[in-house]
Amino acid sequence: MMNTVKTTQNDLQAALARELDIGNLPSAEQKKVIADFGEVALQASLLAVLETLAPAKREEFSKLMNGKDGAALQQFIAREVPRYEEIAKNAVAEEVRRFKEFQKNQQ
Amino acid sequence: MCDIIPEETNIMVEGPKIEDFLELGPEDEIRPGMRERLVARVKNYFSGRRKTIDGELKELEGVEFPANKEGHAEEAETTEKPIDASGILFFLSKQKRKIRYEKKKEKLKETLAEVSEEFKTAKEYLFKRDADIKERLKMAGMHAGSGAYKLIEAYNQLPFRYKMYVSVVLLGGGGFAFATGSAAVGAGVGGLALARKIAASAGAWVGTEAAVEHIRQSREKPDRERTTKGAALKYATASAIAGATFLGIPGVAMHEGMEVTGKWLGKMLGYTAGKQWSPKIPLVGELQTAKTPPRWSPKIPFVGELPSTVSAEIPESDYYPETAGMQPVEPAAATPDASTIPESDYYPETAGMQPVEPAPTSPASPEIRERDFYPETAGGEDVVGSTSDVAAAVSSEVSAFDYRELAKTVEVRTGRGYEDMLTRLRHEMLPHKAEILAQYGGDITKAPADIQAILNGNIHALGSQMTETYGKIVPLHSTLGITADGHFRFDAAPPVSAHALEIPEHDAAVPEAATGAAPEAPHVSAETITAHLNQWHLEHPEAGDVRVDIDAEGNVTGVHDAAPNTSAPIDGGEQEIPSGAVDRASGGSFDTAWSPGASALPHEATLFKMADGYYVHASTPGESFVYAQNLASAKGIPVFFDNSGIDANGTFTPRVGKIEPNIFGGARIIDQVLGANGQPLARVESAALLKKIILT
Repeated sequence: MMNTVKTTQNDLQAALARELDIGNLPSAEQKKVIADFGEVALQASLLAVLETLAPAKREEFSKLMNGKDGAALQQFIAREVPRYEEIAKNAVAEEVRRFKEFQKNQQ
Repeated sequence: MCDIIPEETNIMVEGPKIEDFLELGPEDEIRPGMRERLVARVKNYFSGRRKTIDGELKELEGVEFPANKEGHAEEAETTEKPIDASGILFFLSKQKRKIRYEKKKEKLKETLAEVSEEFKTAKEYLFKRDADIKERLKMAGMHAGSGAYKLIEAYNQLPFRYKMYVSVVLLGGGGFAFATGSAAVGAGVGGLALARKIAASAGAWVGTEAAVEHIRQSREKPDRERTTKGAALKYATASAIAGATFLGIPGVAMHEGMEVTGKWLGKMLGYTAGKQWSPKIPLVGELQTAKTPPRWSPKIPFVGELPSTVSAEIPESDYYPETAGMQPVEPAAATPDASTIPESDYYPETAGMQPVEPAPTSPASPEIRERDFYPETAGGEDVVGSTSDVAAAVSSEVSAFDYRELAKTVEVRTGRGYEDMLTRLRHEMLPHKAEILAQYGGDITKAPADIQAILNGNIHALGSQMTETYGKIVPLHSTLGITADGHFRFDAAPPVSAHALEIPEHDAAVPEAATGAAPEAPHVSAETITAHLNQWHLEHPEAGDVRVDIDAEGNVTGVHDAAPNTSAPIDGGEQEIPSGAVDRASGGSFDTAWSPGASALPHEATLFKMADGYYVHASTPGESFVYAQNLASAKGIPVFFDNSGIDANGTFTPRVGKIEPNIFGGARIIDQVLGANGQPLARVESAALLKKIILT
């Protein structure tokens, strides 16, 4: 079981590394970059959602995120940010693009 | 025996024979043939070693031996003793290892240098990007303690495995080929396995934190309680649930699904699982089938379903539902040049109309009667104005304006406040912080105060600082002067004056008083044309309290107010209009409109086009500001407006304000800020921004 998980994890890491053009980095460094990138991407998608909300709605969003009612949070986003998927997608895609472009410029 | 050991194979020239060293004992004491076999074996060994040593010696030719550190090499050359093969071999092996090591080290160094540089730059980039986005999140209200903030904190506490899953979800949700395409296949990750991992990632937040919390609580409790169903969610923090939910929204796991995946993940982590934790984990693919348990409701759209349900173009009403059904107003594509904008662009109803040549301006008197501005006071004593009066009045009234008042109005009208605009500006500039700072040698203190304010987040001070630096960034209230020949003059308020105007705490009178005269301003030329603002304004959602009827020719036929008894039918031809006025329904000049005997129509607003902008005058004191603000916000053009009045002492105070469109379109401010610094640093999104902000 754990071996399978480990294998899949390695595969995923390799796939992510390819997506981010960091395949030539050592595994340990790939992990660090992936971890950092994940944080950036998560924040970017959050920000993108936030920016579509009016200030009052942002407060409500924050309250929901501070609560434990995942369903309510999901319903809120579905209601207030009906195009959440696309907004988040674009935000993450933009981060990937920026990162790749940066990497490319460094070469 | 000697036959068995050939002469030429003896490695010892003289001395005891091999057999002597073997200490085999008397021949008759060992089994027949044993001695021979042993001797042959030893001889073969030494023979082989000899060849090896010979070979190694050849390799040593030309090798400079180091100082007699080991002693062996020098000894070999200076003594006639048999070569100490072990010493040579030791040296050789060491030397070869060293050479190989050095070569490897060199190669490794090169690789490390390349990799480390790439890693370092990637980390630096991500660090900066992270800081930028965090700042923007902060500006968006997500401060420490907020849900988003905690969510990020929770992410940082996750083991890498789950951080990676988060990336998988985000990238997968981003429609990358990664999720289902070649990358996954290339990685040897089956679709189901990948889906399972993605599903698990949503539960990672719950599972991980729950496990940690469970361990913590278990340690606190001597009589450790066995975890039961629901404990995962019980122990899970809000951030974990929020994270799982947030990540689950892209179509993976929600609610019950998250719970299940969280439990499954808990098992993976060694989390104590109750029997009721079904080993059967629903996969994403299964969730889309009829096998999906009924409780998995409502149906969450899955990644694969999104493309068909998502429109590429997001209507404005999605962002601002209150605008649904309204006709979008095309925003200006670039920083507007009011002087080049055809009037008909803003007032379609005037399209095709010929500018009306203003009536000859009668020699204006420097005297201005109060009733000219306040018809309701007609008949009363006139207030005589002069340039010196104006200067004095301006200096005494200058602090009456308060940008906060404007901000408040803006907020009401647009749903976005002044600070929000500045925040957006900051958002636009922050990603370019390094570039901006580079212009000042990396020293932020060398940057203009406003840029410092932006980059440092001192939003409250930003308005005044920007005004002080650029003079026209924030709403700039100008002063209205009157020349000796009776013309009104506009002051493009010097920054210091505007600064004082914007910040009431400052001693506003000082700058103006120091000049000792009304500020210079351009004349309102005779080419001025006018147009009714009322019609446009009443169509504006914010103009509900005023309605003006205009006939096909553009003549005002009626003015209605929300309050009864203020509706006044108008017959432009017969309505008694005080002498000297023109019917503004068909146009007129600024001068004549403001000349003695101006229309007494209530709630009438007239737009005057000047060489350097537009000027709005409403017949009712105080309304000009509203009209002008409406216009500036909706059209993105700078608009002057009059805000003259009479103070408590009865002193007439002619004053003109100017609303820059920038306050409503933060991106435009970026244009100006960057323009002032020589080159654009931030990409302007004025069109989109304006479209979002304005209410039309």
